[in-house]
Amino acid sequence: MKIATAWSTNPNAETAATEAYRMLLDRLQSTPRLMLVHSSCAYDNENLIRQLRSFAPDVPVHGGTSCLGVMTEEGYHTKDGKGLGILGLYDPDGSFGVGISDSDNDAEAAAKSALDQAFAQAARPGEVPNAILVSSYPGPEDLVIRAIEKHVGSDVPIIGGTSADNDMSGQWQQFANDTVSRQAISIAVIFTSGDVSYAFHSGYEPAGFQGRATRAEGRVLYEIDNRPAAQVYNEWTAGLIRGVLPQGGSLVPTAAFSPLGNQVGQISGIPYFRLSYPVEVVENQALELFTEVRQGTEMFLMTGSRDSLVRRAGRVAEAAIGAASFGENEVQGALVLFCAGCMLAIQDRMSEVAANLRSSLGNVPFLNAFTLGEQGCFVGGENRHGNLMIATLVFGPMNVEK
Amino acid sequence: MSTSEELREALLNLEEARKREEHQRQMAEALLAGLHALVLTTDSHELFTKLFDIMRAPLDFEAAFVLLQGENGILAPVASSDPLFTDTVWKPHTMFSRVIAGKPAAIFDTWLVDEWRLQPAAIQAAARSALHFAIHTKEQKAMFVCIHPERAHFTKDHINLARRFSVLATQALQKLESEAKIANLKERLEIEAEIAALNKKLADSEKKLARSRRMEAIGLLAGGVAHDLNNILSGIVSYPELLLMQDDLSYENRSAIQTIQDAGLRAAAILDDLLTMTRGVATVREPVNLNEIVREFLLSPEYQELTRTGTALSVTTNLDPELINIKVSVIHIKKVLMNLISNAVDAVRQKPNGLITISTENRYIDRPLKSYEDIRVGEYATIHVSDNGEGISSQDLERIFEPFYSRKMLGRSGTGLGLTIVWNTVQDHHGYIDVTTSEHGSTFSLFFPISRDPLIEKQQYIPIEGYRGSGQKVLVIDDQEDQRQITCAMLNRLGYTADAVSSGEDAVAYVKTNAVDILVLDMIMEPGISGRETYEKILGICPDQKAIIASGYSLTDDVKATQKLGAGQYIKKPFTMIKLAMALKYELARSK
Repeated sequence: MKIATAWSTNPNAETAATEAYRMLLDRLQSTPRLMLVHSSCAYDNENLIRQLRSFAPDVPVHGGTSCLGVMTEEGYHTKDGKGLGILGLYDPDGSFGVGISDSDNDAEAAAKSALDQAFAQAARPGEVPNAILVSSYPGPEDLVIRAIEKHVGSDVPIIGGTSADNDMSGQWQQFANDTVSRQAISIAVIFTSGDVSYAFHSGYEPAGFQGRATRAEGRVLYEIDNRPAAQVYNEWTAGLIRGVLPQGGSLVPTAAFSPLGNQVGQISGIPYFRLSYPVEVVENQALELFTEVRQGTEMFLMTGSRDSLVRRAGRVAEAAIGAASFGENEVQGALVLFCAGCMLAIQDRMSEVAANLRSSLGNVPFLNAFTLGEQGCFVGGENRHGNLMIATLVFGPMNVEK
Repeated sequence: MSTSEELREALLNLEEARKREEHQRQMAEALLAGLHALVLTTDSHELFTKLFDIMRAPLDFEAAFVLLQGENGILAPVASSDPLFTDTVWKPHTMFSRVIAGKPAAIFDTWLVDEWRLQPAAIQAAARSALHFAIHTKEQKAMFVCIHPERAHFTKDHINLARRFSVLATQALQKLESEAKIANLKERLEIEAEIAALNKKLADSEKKLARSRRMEAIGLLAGGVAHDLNNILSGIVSYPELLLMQDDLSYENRSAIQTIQDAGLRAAAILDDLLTMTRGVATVREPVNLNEIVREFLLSPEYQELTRTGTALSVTTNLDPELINIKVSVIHIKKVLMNLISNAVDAVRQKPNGLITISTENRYIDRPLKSYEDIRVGEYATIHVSDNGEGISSQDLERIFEPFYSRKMLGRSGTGLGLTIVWNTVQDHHGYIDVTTSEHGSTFSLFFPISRDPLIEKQQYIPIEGYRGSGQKVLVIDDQEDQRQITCAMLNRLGYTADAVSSGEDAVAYVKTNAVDILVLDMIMEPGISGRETYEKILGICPDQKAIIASGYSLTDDVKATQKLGAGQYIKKPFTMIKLAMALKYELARSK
């Protein structure tokens, strides 16, 4: 197995695709068996993907748009809001398949359809894959995870990123083979010849305030402890959103270091949390979050800092390696999904983030996309969708069968 | 210096590492116990039994067996923890080949895997999940198989443990080999005799699988042809309709044109059937009750026409009032019902007292049911169409669902695709077909998985009266010259003011300088931009622009995407004037 990454910030989509693919071939020295592709929405991605597929028409392509650009082991790649990154995987003993389906108001059916296509392309129907990768538009991520688990069980790690645009105006796109869509579920099933490992961390910690979601529907949290959610949030954060509270409005990036969280599980009494980014104060002083919230859930105010955020990606990579069945010197490469909201809050320090990841991963190739929601597998084995999270998938060496 | 946030993470990681260590310890203990049994067991027959017992907890299987590969490539069990698997025989496909080559595999759904699909229904029902790994010896290729009755039971952890356990199992097999137990000639002969008997079972299963695949391939091929022909047929169906509106036609010419139109409509009906049976068309599914479909059909003109046989024919129903809903494409199920009844009518046409019975009932299949198809465990709503005809011969029965395989008299039947549509539709809905037949008649039974979703209220349609336009401006966008001419002629007849352009690019230029009330939009206009792209660009100029879609293709993702942008109804070419009129009227009245 061999992994390489490539990138380009050329403003023309076709040229960027050509530059990046040539770079990938130089580094991989073989036609890849799978390409994970992330690029910013400022590109004409239909042309970009068409160009990539013209070079490697039989290679499964999976991915989606990434906020402003991408990051690889060589640094943060963005220029005038454009950046393209490819992770190419050459694994002749592995099998890979990709599928995509437009949601059409039934994300569960779309996920199932995409999953079936992916298994068919991998020619491994019915077999448990090493991992499942997801690229979705914002909204149905929880449903998609449930749909996948319903089909393959809950023990297959699901790693993904909600495709992002540059300004939250809805320009996000999902990629799968020849298809580029705005409202689709793209799924890849990966059967690598070696093991994979993964980690999914929020990094944030409870700030000491908590209350029950007494009224909630979908992604809107109306009330905490029977009071308007935004009012309660403002009190908990000592007036962080007082300027927005009366008339409503966006909380991005104001709330990036003070998200809400709900406990997903605990290990030996230490709880771990899924984060929900409050993105807007809406009517009746309710909070719109970027994840679903269920009525009755205990919500915690979480807190984080810039310094900790800069170090976090490296720490999550270390956690993934620590959980692996292979040694730290055997890591072949990694895929990282990093919250776009977090990236925007520390954009001036992305070179430090890249350096930390390089160091943690042992200077192997990695591709990092910036997403509007992350899907990953917690330490306790739960697949979840969350905000302000980092999901990392680490590829190990080929298993030597006895 | 570490923050409290980092310390929390470190603690979680530490706990996770402890969990992993505990898991590794349990695995090591299990393997040690296996090794212990290996060393201490002298009776080789007991050896696998002990290993099954020892590994049952860590590998968490319900049953396990070991398959040996013979010289012909077929595998048969040499040891099994459950007698159910003792008589099985396995033909390797891609999954087994990979496992035998040394790649363990966990199966989350055995029903999706070729090797398992060839097994008898009882075996499939007992083993919804499986774990396979190879056992290597010098002389034998073998495979260890663990099974569990629940789907998605085995995980990556099980694969990792299995990989290690394979070393133990290999040693066990070598021990058996060295004691010459399985090399015993008598045993070999017995095994080979069993294999020969079981090979017949395998051949039967393969036959069913091959039939299923043949039908699938034919369906795909037919669908592809139908797409292309639909556009060509437009002229044959639509021009006669316009010509027949002329008052001064002579009787001879009117009769000739009528004949052309009838032929076109018959061809269109065949194509419609072809499209219906194309896999994947049935995408719009809604909760319905089969009883309602039956009742509606019995009131339809199609049914009246169908049962006008000139002989005494009785149709009775026995509909279960408690019948549970199913989630299906209604248009396809209606066609299925029509075809089954048509088939039944033909079966009794020559009988003086023909009797057709339509019945429905809920069925719970608690163990796999052997029938025309093997029906899996589950809850089903079923419909049965019976006749008291002369039955179907076994030769016909084998091929009755194939396209154009008709027992009916030449020239009398429909398109020749009726039962093919039944087959494909049922398959598309994950249902099953059973056919029972004797000299006293035949019964076609369809099994559809039930749905607990509530019924959707019926859509309101505008009345057909008053569908004429009142001078509204309509722009026809179509790359086919004849299509533009036909559609414009129809529109002018309907009282609209029609204009036409031959590409999406021209349409965009047109609306920049001309106000249009509604567009009639083709979807594929190569080499230019598509209908969806055209509509997207026009919306940039006229955000409220109304449109309907006219395409020779079935309801594609592109059509849906265009409708999502705001376009209205989709009408399939070739369309009649009434269809066009109603779509326009509906869309013009609809507020955007």
